[in-house]
Amino acid sequence: MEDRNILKVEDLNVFFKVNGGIVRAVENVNFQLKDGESIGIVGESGCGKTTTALAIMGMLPGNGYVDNGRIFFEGEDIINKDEKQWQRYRWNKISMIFQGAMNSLNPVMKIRRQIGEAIRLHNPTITKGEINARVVELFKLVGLDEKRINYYPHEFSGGMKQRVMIAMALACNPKLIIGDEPTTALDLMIQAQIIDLINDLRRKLNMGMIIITHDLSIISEICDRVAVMYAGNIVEIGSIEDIIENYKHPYTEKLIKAFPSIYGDKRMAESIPGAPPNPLSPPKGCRFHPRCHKSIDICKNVLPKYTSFGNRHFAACHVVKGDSLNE
Amino acid sequence: MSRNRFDVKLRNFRGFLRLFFSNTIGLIGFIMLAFFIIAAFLGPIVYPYDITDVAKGDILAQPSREFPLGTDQLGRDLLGALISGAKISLMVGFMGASISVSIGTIVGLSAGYIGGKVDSILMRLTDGMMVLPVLPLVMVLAALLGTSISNIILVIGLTGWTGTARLVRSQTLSFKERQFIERARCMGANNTYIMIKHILPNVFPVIFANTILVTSSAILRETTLSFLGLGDPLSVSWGQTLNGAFNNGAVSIGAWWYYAPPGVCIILLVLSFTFLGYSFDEILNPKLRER
Repeated sequence: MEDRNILKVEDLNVFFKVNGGIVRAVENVNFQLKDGESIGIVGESGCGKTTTALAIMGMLPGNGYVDNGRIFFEGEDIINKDEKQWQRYRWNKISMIFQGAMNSLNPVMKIRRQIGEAIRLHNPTITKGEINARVVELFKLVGLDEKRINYYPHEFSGGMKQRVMIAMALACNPKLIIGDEPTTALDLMIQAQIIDLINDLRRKLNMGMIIITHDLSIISEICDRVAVMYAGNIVEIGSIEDIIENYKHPYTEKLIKAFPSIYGDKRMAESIPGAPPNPLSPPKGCRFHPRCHKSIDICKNVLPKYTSFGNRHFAACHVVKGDSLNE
Repeated sequence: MSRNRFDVKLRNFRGFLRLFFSNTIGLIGFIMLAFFIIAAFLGPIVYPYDITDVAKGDILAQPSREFPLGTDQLGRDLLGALISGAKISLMVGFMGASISVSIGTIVGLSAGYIGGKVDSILMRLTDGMMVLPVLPLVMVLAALLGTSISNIILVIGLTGWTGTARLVRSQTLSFKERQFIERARCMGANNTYIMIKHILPNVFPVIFANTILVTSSAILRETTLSFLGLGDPLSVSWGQTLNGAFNNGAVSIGAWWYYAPPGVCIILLVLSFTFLGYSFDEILNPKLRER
């Protein structure tokens, strides 16, 4: 089992056609996910986290397309599936917990029907009784009162709606769940509860998981590994301990320092000067170099390659690798 | 579980009724409409009337004990005509409105949801229907199809859907961008499923409020057609009675009992629908509610 990858993303490029040209939203993204492993994708707004997830789900909007690269799910290349094949694969194999539970539920439909819908669309022959039994089972699984399956979304609180979304994602027993900011818009107590629930379910059901967030603390609670994204590239990837305690890339360093520590001295959280680059015309070389405090000449012209630090920990940075212009 | 759930439902329904009946205008509209509906159904039983019966009264007789609303130029009873007109007005109103609203909903939903070329074609068609002068169109169609009550309903239904189509399209455009639509698509729902199961129920309140207003305009249109002599001669509608009054000089000789009652009834019926539409608007759109 050690080497069995449930998901393998290879050299993924996702571009968007817009009026002003082509937005290179995601470029050269590589990562693997083992069975039952969870990976967190972290980065600023607009760095391509959600786009990566949508590409894996085959849900890119009309003007987006996969320019290059392959995505393997259980060894099968899924990038060239047609819409019908996608529909069978989505939710059965990979499902998604959507960003903002309050907007992801139809306000005029009972919860039972909304969860049941996911089951029925993938098992057309299933009976009503079986669907109801499954919905009740899912409600118990996510810690909701089964008496409330016939309620409408507005009769649920924010945290309960998030549980409903998780139940919905679990409806068809997927092998992989993508959580797009699963705790955004929830208060801290509820965030903690949802994180506990996700951890608990992951242990119980042995699912792979991709968590997309800009909150490192959530990732460190849920994930085994972290991928740090900047302007469409993964700049560093490794186990959660390696990234938090032994970060290599200057961007990761800045990102971690931007979080106030509850243990250390009282100090202002650091910010990263400047703004992320315009994705229509990203800078040459390392995309982070205009904002990087360690940048050297080579960073301006050559895109850095990954350096391995053991234990599947990689970072793409010239300074860390010890490159120089003469090399 | 079901008991609890039933309570909630009951409470919601009671809340709706309370809101509805605390709204004076809505209540007035409801009472007026109820009166006309009861009159249309019970009237013919209590007060039988057949237009093909031999006329028993004098020509253009004033209201009397035998003929409470007088008689027309052939000596026929006018109260009977008034009562049977209620049924025709309501029937034309409801059936014409259901055809209009169905067409408008299908056109608006498809245009808004599918978008692109389909949207352009359907909306240009709607624009075309909107700028056509409706009355001449309806007159030509009615003359072409022949004057029977079902043709009148058809003509009214086929010409009155443009407003509904625009309204439903704009609502659909807003709902299709909501996240639960993306979620449903991601879950494997196809377009027809999303339109019918997800968007239609959300747009329904607006369609409902719109139906009430379309009904009143359908009633008015039937009256207009009948008044102009394009109605079904065998169904005595209010417009038909007004047509008779006009053609036989009832206005100039002061036979008010001929033209006033159907005129007042048309006004009250249309007003009742307008009041109802107004109060539903207030209930369905909480922003308009006063504390």
